[in-house]
Formats: sequence, structure tokens, C-alpha cells
Amino acid sequence: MMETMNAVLVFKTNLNPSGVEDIAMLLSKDPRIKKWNVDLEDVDRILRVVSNTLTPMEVQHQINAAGYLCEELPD
Amino acid sequence: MRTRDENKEETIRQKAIELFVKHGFDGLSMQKLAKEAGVSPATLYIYYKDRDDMIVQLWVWVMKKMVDTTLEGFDPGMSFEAGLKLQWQNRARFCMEYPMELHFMEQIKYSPYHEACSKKMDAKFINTMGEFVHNAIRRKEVVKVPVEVYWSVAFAPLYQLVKMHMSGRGLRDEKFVLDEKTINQTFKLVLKALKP
Repeated sequence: MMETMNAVLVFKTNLNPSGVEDIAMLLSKDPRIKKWNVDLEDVDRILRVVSNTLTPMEVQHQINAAGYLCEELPD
Repeated sequence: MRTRDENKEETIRQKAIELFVKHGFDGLSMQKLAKEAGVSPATLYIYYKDRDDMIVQLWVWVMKKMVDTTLEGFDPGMSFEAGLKLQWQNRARFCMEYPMELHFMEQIKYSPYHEACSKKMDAKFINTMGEFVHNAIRRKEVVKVPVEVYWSVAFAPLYQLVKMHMSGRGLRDEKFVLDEKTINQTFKLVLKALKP
């Protein structure tokens, strides 16, 4: 699949359903992001971003600026 | 940048199917799987979007294994008897070699994931099976009946015997082992039933 060509960035967050709506506005209009989703079923409310240009720090700043916790999960 | 690692991916799949079969849907959280497979949760999310995506992808992977095994040495132009015999051998081999995977497929069949999974069914496999039967009907080797009837007569007897073999018990709870003789005996009856 094409996704293997891109980097997958994985973050632990404190997003809730309304938080997902908040960040959806930010992430969906960012042309550098190919795909993203939040796994609310996971205890770590995982944010997954597929992009080949964004750095983890850049994503983290965007989410923090929206008022939510976000830290990159190490491999 | 993170890259995919085939070996790691294989370990994750095996562990996921094992957890799923042993503990059901609830036993398979991304966190539990990460611990069991000895990887970080972040690694799992490189391969899968979330748990639902993982279950569908696992199904696709097991299905591919099943299809590859079933079609080994098979050609839809084969005579009905030879083709069906090979199908029986291949299908039985898959069941014996991959019992966990088989169990997983069965559980999916009766779960809400069934719909999402069946959309990903391999069309080539269905077409090959269809071609085989239609060739045989044209050659008057097989009766023309609805596909569900055909499948139930052609394969369900084999799968029932395999199930008994895997539980190790027959109908009266005595020891049961599926041997060549039993397979051949059943196969002959199935052939007779499907003759025009």
C-alpha cells in the first residue's frame, strides 16, 4: 500500500470525542497530512498521523495549541 | 522515520490471532497485544489504524493463506473428481496446519466484523471455484443446483469431519482421528450425490 512510502507518527493524547472535532479542523486542512485518525478506544487515545514532511514536534505543537496533551510515543 | 519490518509484523499477527482465539474480542486490545508481542504500542499503530482495522487486515491475511493453500496445484479445467479431490486435500491441509487461523475465521463469521471482511473477499478465488463447477456442469459431471446446495454437499462433509478430528472426539464422544480411509469413503459418497 502507498502508506508504506510515508512516515507514520504516533502520539499519546488526552483527546475525547469533542477534542477530536476540535483537532479535525486543524488537521484536515493541513495539506502536509495525508491521513490521520484518533483511536478513542485505546487508553492512550492514540493520534496517528501519516505525513512525509511533518515532524513529530510540529504535530505536537498544533495539538497542544488547541489545548490538548500530545506526546510522541517511542518505538 | 519508521519502516515496516516483515518479521516483526509476522510476530504481531501470530500473537494477535492467538489472543483473539484465546480471549475473544475483548482480549485483544492494542495495549495487551503490544505487551504480548514485545513491541511498543507505537509500533502497532504503524501497521494498523486501530483495532478494527487490525482485525480486518488479519482476516485478509488469513484468507490469502487459505486461498493460496486451496489453489495449490489446482486448475479450473480439471475433471470434477480430480479437482474436488485436490480441493479436499488442500482444504484439509490448511485446517490442520493453521488451526488457530481457522478458529479466527470462524469467530469473525459470527461477529459484526463479518460485513467489513467479506467486502475484501478475493474475487479471483470465487471466480476460479465458479469456473471449475461450471466446467463440470457443462461436461455433465455435476448436477446443476444452487451454489449453497453445491457447497453444502461438496465441502461441508469434509469440514465436519475436520472439526471432529480437531476436537479428537466423534459423535459418541469416543476417540476420532480423520484418516485417509475415512476421507476417501466420504469423498466417494459426495461424488455420488453430485452426479447428474
